Amino acid sequence: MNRGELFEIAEKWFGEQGWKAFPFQKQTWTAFLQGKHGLLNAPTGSGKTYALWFPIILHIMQRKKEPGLKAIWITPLRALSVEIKQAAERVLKDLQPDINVGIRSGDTSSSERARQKDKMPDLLITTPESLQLLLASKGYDKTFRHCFAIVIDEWHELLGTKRGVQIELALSRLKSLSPAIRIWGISATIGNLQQAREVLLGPESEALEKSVLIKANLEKKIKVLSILPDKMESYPWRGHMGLHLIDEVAPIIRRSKTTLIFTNVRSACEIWFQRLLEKYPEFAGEMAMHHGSIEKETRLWVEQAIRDEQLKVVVCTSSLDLGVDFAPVETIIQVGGPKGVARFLQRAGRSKHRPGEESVIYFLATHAIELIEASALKKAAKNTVVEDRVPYLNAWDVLVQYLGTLAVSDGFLPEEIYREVKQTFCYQAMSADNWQWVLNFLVYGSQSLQAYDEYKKVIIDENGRYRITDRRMAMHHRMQIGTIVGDAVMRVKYVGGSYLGTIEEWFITKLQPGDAFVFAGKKLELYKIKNMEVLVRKADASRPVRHAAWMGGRLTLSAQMSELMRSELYSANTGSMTEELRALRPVFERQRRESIVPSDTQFLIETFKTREGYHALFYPFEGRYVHEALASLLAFRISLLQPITFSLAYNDYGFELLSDKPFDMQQVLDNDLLSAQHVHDDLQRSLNATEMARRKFRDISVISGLVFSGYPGQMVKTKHLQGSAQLLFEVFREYEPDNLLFLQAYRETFEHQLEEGRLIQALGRISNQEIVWRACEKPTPFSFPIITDRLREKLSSESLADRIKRMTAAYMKE
Amino acid sequence: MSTQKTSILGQDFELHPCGAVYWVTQKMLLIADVHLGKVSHFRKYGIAIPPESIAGNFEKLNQVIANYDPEVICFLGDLFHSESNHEFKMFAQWLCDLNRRVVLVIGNHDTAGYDDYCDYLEVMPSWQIGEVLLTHHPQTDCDNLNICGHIHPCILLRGTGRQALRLPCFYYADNQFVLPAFGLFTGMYEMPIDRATRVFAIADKEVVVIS
Repeated sequence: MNRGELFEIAEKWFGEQGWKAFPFQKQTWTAFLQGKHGLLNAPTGSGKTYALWFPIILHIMQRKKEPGLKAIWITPLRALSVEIKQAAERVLKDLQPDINVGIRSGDTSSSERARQKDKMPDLLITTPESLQLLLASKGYDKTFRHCFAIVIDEWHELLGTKRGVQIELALSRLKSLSPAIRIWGISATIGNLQQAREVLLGPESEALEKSVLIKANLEKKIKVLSILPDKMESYPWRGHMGLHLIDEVAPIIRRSKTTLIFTNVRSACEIWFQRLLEKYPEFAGEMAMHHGSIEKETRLWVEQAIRDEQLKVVVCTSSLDLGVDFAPVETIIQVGGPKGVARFLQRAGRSKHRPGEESVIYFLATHAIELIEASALKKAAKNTVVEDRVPYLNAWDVLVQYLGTLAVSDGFLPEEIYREVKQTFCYQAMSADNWQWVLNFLVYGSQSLQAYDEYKKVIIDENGRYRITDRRMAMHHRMQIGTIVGDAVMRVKYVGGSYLGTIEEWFITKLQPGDAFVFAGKKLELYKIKNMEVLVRKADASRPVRHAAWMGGRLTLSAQMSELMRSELYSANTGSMTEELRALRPVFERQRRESIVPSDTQFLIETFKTREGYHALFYPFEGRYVHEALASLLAFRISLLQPITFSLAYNDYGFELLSDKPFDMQQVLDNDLLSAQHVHDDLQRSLNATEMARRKFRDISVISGLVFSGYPGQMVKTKHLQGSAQLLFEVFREYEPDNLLFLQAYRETFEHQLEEGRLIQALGRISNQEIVWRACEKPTPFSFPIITDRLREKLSSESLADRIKRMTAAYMKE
Repeated sequence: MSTQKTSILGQDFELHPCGAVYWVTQKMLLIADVHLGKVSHFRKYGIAIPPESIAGNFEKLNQVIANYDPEVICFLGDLFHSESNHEFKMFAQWLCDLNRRVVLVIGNHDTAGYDDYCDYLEVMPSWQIGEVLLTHHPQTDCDNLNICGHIHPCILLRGTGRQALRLPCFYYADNQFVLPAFGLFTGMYEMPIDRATRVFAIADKEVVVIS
């Protein structure tokens, strides 16, 4: 069959569904059937799934039937697999009923896995981790022999993460195993699409040359509506999480068929769910919650219920972010700043996302200053200014794990794999020394051969292949692949038996048996802790409770968002203010009493004294990570002028130095302490960098197998091997400071965490502005969110609200 | 390096940042939970702790012994980690070269046979010296003072922005004086600060009074 005939079949099938194929879909089919690789830039609900399933199925029709795996579809979230399978089966039912589709992920049952081992499905939908596990199985080369296509869905989500690096490595292997394989990525719009293609296919590779970038170019109209309070408080603080507007939210829920309420963190998700339930019991039977720590069965249930239109409102976190085709979602409410334009636009796209329809997203600021974010987001939605996803370079921990994976299955020959790995984006600059270092690490556990050393991991067999032959080690390695790195978690289950989800260990250690807390939307009482599991009972509804909390990674304001925010903020000094900024007038007025609302030529610093001490506030509006670094940097530099210790606080808008002694701000300015010179050295010497590196090292040590962490609840007899990353860090610091994994922790801290590049740019920008220093009598509205955040650490939520009420009353007295 | 002096029930002790305690009147150095062999144990199972750290334990021991020049060195249990490995042979050699009185009060990990070192090492289940009882496990029924190990105590200090630091410590409460783990690569167990009579934390190379 030639291409013309194949296209006819495809268009006929589309017609039978009542659809018409989009130009980008046909472009993709053409490129694929021509044997090209590519990156398809298409948003959720655009028909991207059929853009690639079709040519795969058409290609099967074109050639003679061979048994075995033919195409792989990689999706980063298990939630999406069902949708993707159903899409394929819909076509296969009519055109190729002999072909079957299977899913393989962490959710796949062991009986299903055994069946797949016997006979792989023709089309396999799987996750990045499960792909690695396939490479960890003996005889994997045969599995992939007839595979002619691999699709990496949601590539923008994987790019810039270590799972993305795992994909790069897996692809490098597949390219050798199946030279005719076509590699396709599907990505939402990001700032660096061309680079995304390069990372997927390998820099300067043959694949990259033989590839295309196709943009779906579907204009998605997005309307952003801010939910504004009737009365604007003058002193904004982040206590109520937007709940004071819950009465504004209820009517929105009522008039939509389905509403998704996105919160930024799990604890906010739990609290919102609880409050909605308490205040609006009418929603009770049709309400659900969804976040990453809830038990998988419950999550799957919620996802299916949304598809079946059984739920009126779901409170969730980014756990529901990825592009499942939830057609019936009518309304999206974003609680709190989404921190990034791309994320926000993606979420907006979830509402009514059949192509061509307008998407509506409501924004609910959790405190006044977030309205500036809302204002900025409106502009962003109009101009589609989106973030880059910055790919990793030289992630040694992932390489160590990958080589272990190859060693566990069929073993590897270093020269062969070195060539493959060197061609990936991540390791393009890897030196022969670096490579040898990694091999030595695996085989000798050291860079120099030690007498009497009993280290054993990877051995070199008589054919020169590197293998792991010890069965227990192989088992541990397989369990290690795809371990989700996070704080130590414990599974929560009812005494009666069913599981609810996972909670972080530190939260549980604060509780005594009998204490009550809210989790997964339920009021629970801690019964006891047994075997790393938390046994609970239903608690009395009337009892006062605390909500489960997570330390989880807080997102920072992206560089694009912060730039947009700054320009919005500056516009507060002009006549042209958006509706959100106008609503902020009371805040701006009070801010201007003692201080200013900075313009683009000004950098604001405020100082004042309270009973907590001497406060110095700085407002770069550059995101919390950069602020954490700047605070640390400045504190260090000031301490060189005079002996003084600071307590640091920061959020996305600014940072604070708090001390019990006054210091001379004029000295800070005269000595040019905000200079961009010597930033790297000063950051290194300030304490925080080590602390952050220690935290980064935790992830690195888990990925590279230095610290073994089984799945929570799994009875693994490795207590005797439980090490702690903190201890390891100290040992490396003292005895092997040139260890690549140890150095990686620092590198990641500077590049990713402290965002050194962005920090230097911020300082450069500040050096071109006029520094406006206001010595105030009392806290200003801009400072309020930061200084009240600090109180949160010390006070319970009731006393916090109380204290803030009193503070506000005192400051308003004028 | 800075140490702290403290007095319990009329006995004078000096707390050293390496984790050892010098009992002044008895001219005895007390050391708990060295866990020799732990690094080698991990390496045997494919976890690449830098082998250079093995010598570290011995360096620390030599340093603190040189500092106090004690007449007796008493190990309060868990001197060894598990099965015999090369680090034990190193220890035997070290004992031989040391030429001082060394006593081991047995702990739960000390399962290896001590016949290799019986010339150099006195082994006992517990040691009563006057009103003081030296053991590995903390004793609950001690009327006077029980100096012990086993727990690997540490305390949690909270900083701003949810920062927390765990520091090994010397912990005295309810007639029990628990020593921190001396060994370089040992885990830690958090103790409640408010229930202690006295707590001394080890931060960098200093012993710091907490309460």
